[in-house]
Amino acid sequence: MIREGLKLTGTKFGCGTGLCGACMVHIDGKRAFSCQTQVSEIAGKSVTTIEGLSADSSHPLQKAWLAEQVPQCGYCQSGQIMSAADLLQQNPKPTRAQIVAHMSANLCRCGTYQRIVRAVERAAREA
Amino acid sequence: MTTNIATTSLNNTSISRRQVMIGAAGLSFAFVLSGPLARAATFASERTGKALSPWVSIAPDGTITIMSAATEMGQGSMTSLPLIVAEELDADWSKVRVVAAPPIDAIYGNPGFGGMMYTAGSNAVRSYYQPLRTFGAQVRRVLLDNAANKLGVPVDELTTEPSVVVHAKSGRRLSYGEIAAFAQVPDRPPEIKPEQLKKPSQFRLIGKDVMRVDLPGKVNGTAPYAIDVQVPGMLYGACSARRSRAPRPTRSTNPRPEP
Repeated sequence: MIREGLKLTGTKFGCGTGLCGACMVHIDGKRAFSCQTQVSEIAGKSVTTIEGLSADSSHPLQKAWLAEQVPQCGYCQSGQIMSAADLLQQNPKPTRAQIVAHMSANLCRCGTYQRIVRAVERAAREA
Repeated sequence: MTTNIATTSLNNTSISRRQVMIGAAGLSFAFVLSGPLARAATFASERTGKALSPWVSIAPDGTITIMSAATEMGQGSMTSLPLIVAEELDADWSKVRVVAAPPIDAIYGNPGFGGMMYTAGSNAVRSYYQPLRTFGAQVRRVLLDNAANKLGVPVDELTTEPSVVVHAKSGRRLSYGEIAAFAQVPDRPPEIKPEQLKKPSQFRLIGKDVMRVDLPGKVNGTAPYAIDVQVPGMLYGACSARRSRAPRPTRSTNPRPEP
């Protein structure tokens, strides 16, 4: 629905089984695997995709992601950023262990995990 | 003025509107990296937007468009290859726009893979490095020669700063964009010997920490991936794995192959 119906292709299709996190969006401000979510479940709710995180890439996480040069291929990164945004909303100053635990829902085949953690720490620091 | 390279061999290649627009925008330079075309006419320019696919285009507003010939997979080629051209061209990197090159082996093929546009094996920078530096230096030289004519001074009195030709003696300056508006381009490329390339100590870009050009699109969802391409009437294909040994199709829309 998001990608082909609404043509918002920033949200990626990965595993289709809720394992990889490439499809992560926010539903009423909380992260959710869009591939595991039926349209019928979100009636009356608000869905935010990476395109809606900020109008001009100005979200502290997006700035931190560039500062730390996180992405390689970049395919998982929309989902990574959406997950991280959910974390900082709940917990603006997470510990490293909390970041690692929260972000474990998202896989990155390029292995950018170290930079992801650094970028979340930077965003928490600079936001 | 317009010298068209190897149009006979490129006639079968469809040139996208995007390329034509780039070609029409100002002054364009192309060269052929390898193969039978490389020796004869390796350098060309145009203003008219004819069927020429350029490596470098300089618009009168100073925007420099550089083609990236390798596939960007996160390894940074889309930044590093154009950066090599920009280094020897002495381009202002903030005014450089990088465009993925269209699939034309004759123009953009990797010399390390027999002239194929093939990206693998940490081969792109290694194989394109010398040709792209030489080409960048040739384009810079053409701009210098044109500036020398315009200013009426010997070319060896001119130097460059990023995207500007400087005549220190008189304090006059011509931006690359200004030069692009009047430049004449020789039929044959100026010769650049390896010793005429920059010394590593003179590098402004190579070896420096430069923001990868593909990153901004990867933090806001706009970076285009193959899976994002949607065209009207698009069909989807998938491989069907066999369930048993030596299966035979039960139905096929293709003509039955000869045994």
